[in-house]
Amino acid sequence: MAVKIVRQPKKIALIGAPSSAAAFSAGSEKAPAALRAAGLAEKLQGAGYEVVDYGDCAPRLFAADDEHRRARNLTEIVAGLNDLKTRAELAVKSGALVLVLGGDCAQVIGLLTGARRYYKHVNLVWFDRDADLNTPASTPSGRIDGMVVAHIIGKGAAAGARAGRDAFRTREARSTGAGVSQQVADAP
Amino acid sequence: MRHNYAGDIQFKGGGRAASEALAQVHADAREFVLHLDTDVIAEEDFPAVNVPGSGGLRFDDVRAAFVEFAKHKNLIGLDVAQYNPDKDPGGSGAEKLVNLLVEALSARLEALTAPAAEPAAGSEEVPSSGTAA
Repeated sequence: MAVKIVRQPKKIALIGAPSSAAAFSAGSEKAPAALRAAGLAEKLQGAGYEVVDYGDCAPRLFAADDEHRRARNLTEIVAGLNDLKTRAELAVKSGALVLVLGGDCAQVIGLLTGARRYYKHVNLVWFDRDADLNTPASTPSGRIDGMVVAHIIGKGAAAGARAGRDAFRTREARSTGAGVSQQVADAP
Repeated sequence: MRHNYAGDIQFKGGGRAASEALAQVHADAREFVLHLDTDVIAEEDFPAVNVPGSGGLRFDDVRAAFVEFAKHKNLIGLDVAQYNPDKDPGGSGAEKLVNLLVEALSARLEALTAPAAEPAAGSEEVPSSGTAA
């Protein structure tokens, strides 16, 4: 059954995703708490927003995972994305602008997946120093953060690509490159 | 998939580059999500990231682009990634990032609730592009 989303321009849904499981080092799991402590919600309220806080997902921590050198910590990452997806679905349905505080770059998959529950077509603007288009075959590190976009377009490790495919379907990538700062994917 | 390279963004300026990127994703017709990896900011302007390195944009270009993205009515969600508090012992990075978010989202609020964009009296709703699943 189709659900009509009525967007609320004065509302922000805040979700913390304290994850470093996909990252190249520990530390980013502390970012949601640090940004909250720096007064993010209060300053947004002061700017005129109603901020609805959906809390933080369970922490997902950086680990070596040398058993899976081409796609490290994937089980933990996917578990975290499913947690985020559930919160993101509720947030998207509310019509608020959803603001996810990462965490590592993989968290965008949880946001996309939540959005795809209600929006058939969602595009992605990727504003990043890196293209994150490595795959398990090409990765020098095995860190999923270097492969997030590859997973979104279905070219990553199986479990991660399934999560990515649930979030997003795109046409074939036409080019790759280093030093990319913005990158745009079109959904069909 | 389209790529917009750092050199082009620096040449055009962040705001104009973002405007062009929004056209590339047909933002006027389709909802979109924005991913902001804070390492897109040049290391000298924002070092508190997981993997600092060369190739980022100066903060003013990132801010201009981010504001342009944030103002668009079809932005439905965004994530902010890679800020690492372990590399920010004094908290200045967190403050800078919070201020950036507040500035961009304030611009969004102003853009979406400006008199010309206001819906009929008594309603604060913004219609979607009609692609709800």
